[in-house]
Amino acid sequence: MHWPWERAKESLSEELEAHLQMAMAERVADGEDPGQARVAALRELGNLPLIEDVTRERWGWMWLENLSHDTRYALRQLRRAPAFTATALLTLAFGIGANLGVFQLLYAVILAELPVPHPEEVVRIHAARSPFDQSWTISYPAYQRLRAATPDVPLMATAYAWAATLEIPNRASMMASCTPVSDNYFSGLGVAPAAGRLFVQADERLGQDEWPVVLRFDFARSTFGSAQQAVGQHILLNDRAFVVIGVANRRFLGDVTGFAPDIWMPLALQSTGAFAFSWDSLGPGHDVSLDKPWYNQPTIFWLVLMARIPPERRAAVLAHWDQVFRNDREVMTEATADPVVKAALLHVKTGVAPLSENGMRKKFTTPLTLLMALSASIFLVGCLNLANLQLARLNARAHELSVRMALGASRGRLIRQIVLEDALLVAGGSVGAFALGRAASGILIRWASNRNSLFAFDLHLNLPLAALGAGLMMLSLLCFSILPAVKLLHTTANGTFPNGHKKTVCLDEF
Amino acid sequence: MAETTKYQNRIELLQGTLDMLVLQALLREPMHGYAIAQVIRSRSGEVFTVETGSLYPALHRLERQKWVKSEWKLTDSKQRAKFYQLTALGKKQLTTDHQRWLQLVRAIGAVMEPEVQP
Repeated sequence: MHWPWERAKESLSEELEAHLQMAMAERVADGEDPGQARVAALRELGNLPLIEDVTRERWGWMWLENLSHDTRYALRQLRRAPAFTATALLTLAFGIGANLGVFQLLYAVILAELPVPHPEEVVRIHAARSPFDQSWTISYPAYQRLRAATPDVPLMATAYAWAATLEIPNRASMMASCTPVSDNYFSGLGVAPAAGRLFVQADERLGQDEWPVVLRFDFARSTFGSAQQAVGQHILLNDRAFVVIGVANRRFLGDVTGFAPDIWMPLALQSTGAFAFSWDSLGPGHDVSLDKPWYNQPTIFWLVLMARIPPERRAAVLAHWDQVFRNDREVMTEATADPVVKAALLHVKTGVAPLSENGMRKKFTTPLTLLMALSASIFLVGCLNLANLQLARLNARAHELSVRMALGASRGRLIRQIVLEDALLVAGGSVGAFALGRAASGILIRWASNRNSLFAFDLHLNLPLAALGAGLMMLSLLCFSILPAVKLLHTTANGTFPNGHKKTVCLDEF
Repeated sequence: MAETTKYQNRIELLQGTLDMLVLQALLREPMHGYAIAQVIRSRSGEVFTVETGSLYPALHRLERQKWVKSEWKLTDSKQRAKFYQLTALGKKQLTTDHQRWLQLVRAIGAVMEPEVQP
């Protein structure tokens, strides 16, 4: 290997040699004997290796040279102790990996906000509970009225649809999860497309020959290779013709934590009757025709509402919606004959709820917190074990270290070498930890999901996860390397190294 | 033996003045390290000795500060040597150092011989 400093070193040697030659030549010219001239010139020049060392320090990158030496030395040391290296690597990989895996889920389920601008403004709108399901759903005509009442507030509607059979030319058919959404769904949330375009008002038109759909990023990639390639593809969903108009950005997985639809489609698709929707109605005896389109039936309740309203405007907007919604609320109470219940229902006010309130957070906060605590303690125990192992190892190397100190190695340099050795271990362990963390997240999700549908979370690397990884790396390095090294070399300040065979330094002495 | 006494008469260089002397030596023409040492010694009337152990670290530091630049060339006696040349930045530095030196000399003179001063 030819490092840049090797050449600079050679150049410096040559420069000093030239100096020596010139000094000798001058002495010879003055009549001195060549042999004596050389000896005298050398004496005048002084300690050559020392001069070279001092000069090299002026270059300002000695540390880099030292680092390269130390790294090679550290790698040799690690190769020489394969059992220690393997133990440390595995302990670190599992200790850090478990924490990363659990934290990733904890973050995705509990801490993460919707990946849209100003997520705090987006709330679910609870207008009225449906008569039988008690779900917060309303009819399409009621939705249109509410939306028309406040044109400046984006009021989005979604519905629940069964998974549909997806057919792509020359490919085996498969099931794809679908979420019907209103035309202002993406624009209201502020989701940007990764490719193509997202829904606009024209996409909500009834009776289209080829319906537009938007795909989830990862679904588009796994199905068509990339987001760009997905755009413009013609597909069949439940035997209806569709064209992919766009792909949502990578981080957007829908508005329900844990549930990521593969496909978003217009609400108007309901009129085709090709898809199964979840719904509620006033029940038998009322004017309900499930077989006909629902967009003009005020007695079928199937839309879930979501709006982007700045907190300071919330009260006014909700009060306004209450007024507009009064007739629909009365319609919804027709299912019950009990006047007391009816009166109570009529008094319900339109309210808001945070998007995160969907049961997922409630269900998993405790188990995930416990798991997090468990993996944190695994990590700490692992660190303590490694620290003990490291002290024993350093103790065994005490002889070598004391010889090197006697030869003039500074304490700082020795500590740096030991820490560098362990930093390499931590770096190697962390690579394993990230892979392991990813696998752990996958296993945990499988374990927590029910059999029919797998939870889907955004498991891409994010800043908090990277920060946790780096923090755990630093902490483990501090615990099992810096503290033991400082401690051991500190005991040598008294002039004697502890003898590794008779006295064992262990953690209790901290 | 005469050689030894000659060396004993030399004065150790004042801390921090070496840079200035090296830059001054390079003012007229590019020079290699040996010549710089010779020039400083002879111009000081054999009073200053420039130790190799101070000269080369200083030259390399000056080069890193971009006050001099270097180039390998042949001397008149066909010896390959590294020649140092003053840069524009180095000239500016020399002027500053010189000013400060004159100030220092005047100030020390005023303290040591107050009656000479007007």
